[in-house]
Amino acid sequence: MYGPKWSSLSALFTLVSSLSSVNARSATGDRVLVVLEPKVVKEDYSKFWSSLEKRGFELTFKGPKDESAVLQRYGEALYDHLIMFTPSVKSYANGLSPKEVISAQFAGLNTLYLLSSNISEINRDTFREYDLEFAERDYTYLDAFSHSPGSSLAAPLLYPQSSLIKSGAVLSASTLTGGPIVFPGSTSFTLGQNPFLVEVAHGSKTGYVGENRLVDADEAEVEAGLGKRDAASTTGKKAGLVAAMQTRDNVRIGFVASGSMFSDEWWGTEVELSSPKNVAVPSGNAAFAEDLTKWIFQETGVVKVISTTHHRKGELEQRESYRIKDDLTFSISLAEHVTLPDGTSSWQGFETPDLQLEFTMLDPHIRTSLSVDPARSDSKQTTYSKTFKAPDRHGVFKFVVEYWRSGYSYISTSDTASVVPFRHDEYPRFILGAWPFYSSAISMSAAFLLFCGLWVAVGEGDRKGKKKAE
Amino acid sequence: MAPKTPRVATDSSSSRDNDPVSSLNASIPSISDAPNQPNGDSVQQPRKLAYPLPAQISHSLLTNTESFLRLVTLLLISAAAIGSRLFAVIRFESVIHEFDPWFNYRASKVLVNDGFYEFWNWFDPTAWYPLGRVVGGTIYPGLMVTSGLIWNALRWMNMPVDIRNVCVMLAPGFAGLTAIATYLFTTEMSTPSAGLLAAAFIGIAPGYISRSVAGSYDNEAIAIFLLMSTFYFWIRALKLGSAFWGMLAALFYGWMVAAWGGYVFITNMIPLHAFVLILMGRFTQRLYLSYSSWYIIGTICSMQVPFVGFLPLRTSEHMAALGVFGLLQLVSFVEIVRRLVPGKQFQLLLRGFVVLAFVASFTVLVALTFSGWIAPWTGRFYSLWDTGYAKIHIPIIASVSEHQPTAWPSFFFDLGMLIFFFPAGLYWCFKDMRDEQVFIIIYAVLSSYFAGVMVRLMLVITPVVCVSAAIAYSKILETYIDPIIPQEDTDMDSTTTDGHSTPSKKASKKAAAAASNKPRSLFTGLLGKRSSFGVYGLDTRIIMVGTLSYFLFLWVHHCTFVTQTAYSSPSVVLASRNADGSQAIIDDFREAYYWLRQNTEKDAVVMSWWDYGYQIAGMADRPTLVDNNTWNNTHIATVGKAMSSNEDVAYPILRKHDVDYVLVIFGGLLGYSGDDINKFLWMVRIAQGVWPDEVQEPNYFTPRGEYAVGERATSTMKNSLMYKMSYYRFTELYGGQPAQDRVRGQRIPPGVTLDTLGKLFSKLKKQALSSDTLSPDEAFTSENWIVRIYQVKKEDPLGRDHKAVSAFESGKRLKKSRSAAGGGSKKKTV
Repeated sequence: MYGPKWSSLSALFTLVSSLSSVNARSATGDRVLVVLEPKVVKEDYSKFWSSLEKRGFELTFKGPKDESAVLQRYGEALYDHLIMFTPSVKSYANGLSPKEVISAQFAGLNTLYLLSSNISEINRDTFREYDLEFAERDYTYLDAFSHSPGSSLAAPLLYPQSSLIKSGAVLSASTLTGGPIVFPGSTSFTLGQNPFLVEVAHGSKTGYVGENRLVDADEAEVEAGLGKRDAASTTGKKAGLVAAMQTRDNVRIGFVASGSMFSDEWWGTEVELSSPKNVAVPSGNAAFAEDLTKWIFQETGVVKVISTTHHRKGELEQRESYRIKDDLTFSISLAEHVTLPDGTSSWQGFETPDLQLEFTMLDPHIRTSLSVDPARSDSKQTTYSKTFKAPDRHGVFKFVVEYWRSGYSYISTSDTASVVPFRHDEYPRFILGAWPFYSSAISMSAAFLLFCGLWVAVGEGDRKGKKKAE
Repeated sequence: MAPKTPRVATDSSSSRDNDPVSSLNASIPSISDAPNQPNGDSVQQPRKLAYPLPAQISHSLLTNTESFLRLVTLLLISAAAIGSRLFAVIRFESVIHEFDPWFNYRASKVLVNDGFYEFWNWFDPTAWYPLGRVVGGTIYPGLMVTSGLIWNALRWMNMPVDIRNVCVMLAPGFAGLTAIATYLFTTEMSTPSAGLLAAAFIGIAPGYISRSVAGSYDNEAIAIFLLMSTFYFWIRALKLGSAFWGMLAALFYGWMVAAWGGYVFITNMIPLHAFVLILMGRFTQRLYLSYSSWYIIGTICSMQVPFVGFLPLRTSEHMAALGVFGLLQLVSFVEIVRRLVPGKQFQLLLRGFVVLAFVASFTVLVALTFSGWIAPWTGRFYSLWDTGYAKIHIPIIASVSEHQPTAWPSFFFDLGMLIFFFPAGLYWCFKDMRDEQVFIIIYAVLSSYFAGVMVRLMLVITPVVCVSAAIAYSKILETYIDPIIPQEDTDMDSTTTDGHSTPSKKASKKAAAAASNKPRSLFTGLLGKRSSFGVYGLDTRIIMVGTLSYFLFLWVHHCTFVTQTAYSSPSVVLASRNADGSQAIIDDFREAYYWLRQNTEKDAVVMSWWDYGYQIAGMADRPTLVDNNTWNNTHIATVGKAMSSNEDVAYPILRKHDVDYVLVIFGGLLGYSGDDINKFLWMVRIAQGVWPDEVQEPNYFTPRGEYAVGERATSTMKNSLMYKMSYYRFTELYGGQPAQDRVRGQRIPPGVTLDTLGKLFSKLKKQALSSDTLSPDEAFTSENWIVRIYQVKKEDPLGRDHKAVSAFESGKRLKKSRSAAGGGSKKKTV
């Protein structure tokens, strides 16, 4: 579509526009590719698309088999974010194959996967790379107790208090206390041990995952006899519904088990609660969708390291090597990406009480907390610093700051400096313990002088004197 | 140059043809100088000569010519010593050789670029990453300081020379000086002609050349010169009883201490000499004076080297010197008292006191050693007495090839015919056992033992072999060239008491047996009429001198041959022959090191086996985990463990040490036998020494006890990182068929996979993220596959393990989730 020149120009443009911070609220870019499978009608989600566009994103729509859909070209990323609404697609165009998508994710492509209960094998296999195991085909998240009276079991309501998880900056406080979320036609997943995966929403106590069809007693008996699938594969809170992953490189990936929760049907509408009856409250779908996309598209929870410095106490200049037992000062400046009420975005200081510094050579030799240095903090950044004594051990040390809190970008910095022993002229000159040596040297010299004096005075010719001297 | 070197060599051998003349002339004053030798009349008597000598030459002209010839000969010998060491430069180029020299060269550059004090306080953060190395306190700085001084002196003379050239040419230059020092030393022992022979021998002896060719910029390069100089000054001091010469010996000893760890040899050699002299009842004031001045000044000098520091007072290796110093004081005190106090019983008492004091101080020494005040003998020292010790206890020492016991052919290879003349020279030392000959005997006995224990110590025996052989050679030549024909009617007693002129003694016996009045024919033996033998006629003389000269020619030929074939290879550059006989240069090492230098980040850490640490630091200028300064066994064992374990175990080790690149040497394609697979067992052993539960040597052998790399290799072997790195993609060269390893002579089956190592490249231009993907290639493989470099992959951004990543990259689809399968193990939310 674009030549390299154009793409770089567009990159330049986005850079300029992000600098001017008129539109862009994402910390990484505005270009969003939306891949919709044929079953999904784009117009059904118009409110979702317009909410994104309102936030300054440029949406490009493609089909999953559209060969013109390319994520990277000539070493440049063509899109910053990706929405994959292709749960049941059995094959992809080359540019959208799982390998291409993951490789683009390595390079910074934030991705939102919107799913349904009908997940194709290729998607299932791909999601296993993220350590997510999805429920079998046609298994749907159901809740017999918590759904709108008018709708089916397959459109259950998730109450934020019981189903959403307060995971750092992913969901805002208003969403966490807001209206129930309609979660229709949803599959479910279980999370593996992957430390980068965070569960955002799970099933309620009364929910379960099973086939959405009524089975009478005879049929159930027959199926049980045939050893067919269990009626419910997962129950209650074990049924994962929304997960978020932040990779090691702070690329964000979201998995929403029900893509249709973003449809216009529940976007900003009211839902009727199952109990108390006949009470309608505004649904939380829109708020949830906005929170999740804000997080995935790097609008919230983005923290960056502006600078790290280290120097000797009382100096300002950074050195490559310090001496053992030197007093060292290390400081780090952090900023958080925020969207202002007027729709623009900027960087502000990021304050946290539990930032730690490690002074490491193979193992941490010193681990200490970093405290805010008000003198060097302003509205644009927060500076943390600490002064400590270098250990009595020479070697190549690293100032390591690792700050991993779910929902926030991982902060991981490492500055290398070597710690060297004393120079030959830096040792104390006269020490108390050496006085025996000093005195013996001095007395020896004095005795030698005395001996020489006697020798000269008594005279060489005098044999008797010579012998005595010997 | 190839035709030139033999010419230089013939120069030196023709100089030996000059020797007889000078030796003849020298032998006359030496006889007259010898004490108790009333042979003034023999000079005046008309002598029968085997061949005519020019008569009209004045004595002064003779001595002047003689000393002039001696000087010229010595200079020619020095030139030959330098010349024969230049093969390496001419065959290859002016390049630093091998391993340790690369560090010395690097240290010298620091010295000349940053100055002495920076060098003295040099902390090298790139060595032993991340531990670093306090270089200033862990090296013998003598070599670098020496070359730094030369470099500065040349600059001062407005002759700016690259420090590399100073380093390359230092060893040949000092070899020339060694020849002179050996001349002086041998002259003290015997005649100047023997000195010239010894100088010529040491100048081209392969045992010394092996450590001192141009480019072999190692401590040994100057150490042998310092060794011989110290010994010379010591003998000189002992002979003259001079504190001045003792001080010179001490200063050279100090230089030696600064230059080479082998100084301990001198530290024990001189005290042993003194001790033996005392035991022989040869205690003199000369000994007392020379030893005391040497010991005190020498010890103070040696303590100025930071690496040595207080070792002379705290380690067992130095206790002999201290003990003999104390003993000398005791003996000297007793001598004084004995002179003042008469009485036999009292003297006995004194002797008893000396013995008692000696025993008491020895007990104190032992007690101090056990209480820990004095460090016991080091492992390196124990391995000298028990050759199996190092293999069990200190595999690092045993793993060095030059620490292996010497194979007997290398004595002949390195010393040639000298090894036959060596005992003969000792025989003459026994016959004529003055104090200095005792020294030679002790030196010979000690160094013979050491040379048998360690290949490396061949270097120490070489000088004494040269000296001793030269004494023997010159004695024989003197005997057969001496033109004086023994007189039958000479007084037998006067000749037999003459301990020096054995030939005349023999001859006189023969003469006594023969008829006295018969006219002497020109020939004796077979050609002559008489069946007696002796040095009468020219035939025996010609046969003997001819044979000996032929030996000398053979020796020069042998030395030249050995030097050019065996000892002139820089080992960073290899030479081989093409099918048509032309020389092919294999330059894989430098190719790979320069690739590292030009294609990697400045602070990229390279892991390799320790052999290549100095070269990587020197040529590639990259931090290394371990290097040839094997001071930290655990760190080396860590590398050994990483190399000998499977990828799952090795990867965390690599990441913990911030390793970016792993370098292996692989000779399987070319047949280069010094590769890492052949060294692999040492890595296993060293790792096993630290982690006996995790690394076990038997796992690397087949059940039949073979060290197999082919089909029969054990799974531990096949999964080890070293095996994988060596043979990764090797079979692709053979089209996927089993590949032939030309070193081991085994067939390598295909199917070697590597998940955690490879070559990283970034798909996007921006490098900020660690999002590089892995290509299936290795990062670099040199032309002949000798050096292979792999890049260590970062952790997967998605948190997968590397096996899963490679499976995904190769197109495999995951049919089962790694930890989420079954839906049971739900992750705890944060």
